[in-house]
Amino acid sequence: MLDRLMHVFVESKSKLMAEIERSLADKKPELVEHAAHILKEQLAYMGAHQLSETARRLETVGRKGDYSRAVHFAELLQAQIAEMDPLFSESSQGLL
Amino acid sequence: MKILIAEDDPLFRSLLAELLSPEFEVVISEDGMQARDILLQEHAPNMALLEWIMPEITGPQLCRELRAHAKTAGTYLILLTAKNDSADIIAGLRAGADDYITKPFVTEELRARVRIGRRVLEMQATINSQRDALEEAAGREMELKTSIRVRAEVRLPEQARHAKP
Repeated sequence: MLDRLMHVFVESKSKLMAEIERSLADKKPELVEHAAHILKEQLAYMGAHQLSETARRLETVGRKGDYSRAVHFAELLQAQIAEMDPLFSESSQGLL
Repeated sequence: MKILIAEDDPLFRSLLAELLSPEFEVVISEDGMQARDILLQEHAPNMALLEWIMPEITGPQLCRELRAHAKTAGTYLILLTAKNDSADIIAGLRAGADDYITKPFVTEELRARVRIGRRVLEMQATINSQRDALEEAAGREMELKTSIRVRAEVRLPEQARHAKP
């Protein structure tokens, strides 16, 4: 079960990050809210609380339509996820 | 027993399905509109886990709509969300939810709360079936009393006639 869930997460987070990048490329920060919200919950469930907090901030600034801060938090989240990616891919320990 | 999972997040959708499928027949929807359509169908699940934030229609909006509909007024509804302050919990319960689970949740707590929902529904079903049985018995009693009264009314004039000198 953990392997299947990890697979769903890895696939889902890539789609959500792509959705965020697309919204910001179109200069529509309000559209990142939904993807950031889902990422926030997923990352919290995976125990990645720092990343979840960045996603929460992105969700908040997205809701407010704050483009420059949305870009900042999206880049930060991207960097944090890139750092954690090897762990996400290799291990499913501590999911439940 | 069937349970509907209305969740737009693929990770939580898979997780909930995995956790509940050993005990329940799991039905999945990816948004609130789809959830509403499923719950209004014949033989629909009578328990549902509804994510608060979903495309098209939110969990609390869906709770209000389902409570207002005769078919789903008794459906056991559990809201699922990361919103965890008391104002949100109160708003969710006021919208018509029977229970409220915050994310990230503890697996056993989720199972325990869903089992409580099942127990409530089973008790409700028992009460309904006992009420139906009582209503049926009361109907039979009424028929019997009517029948006795009719027979008595027929017999009494006959007895009076035979009693004449």
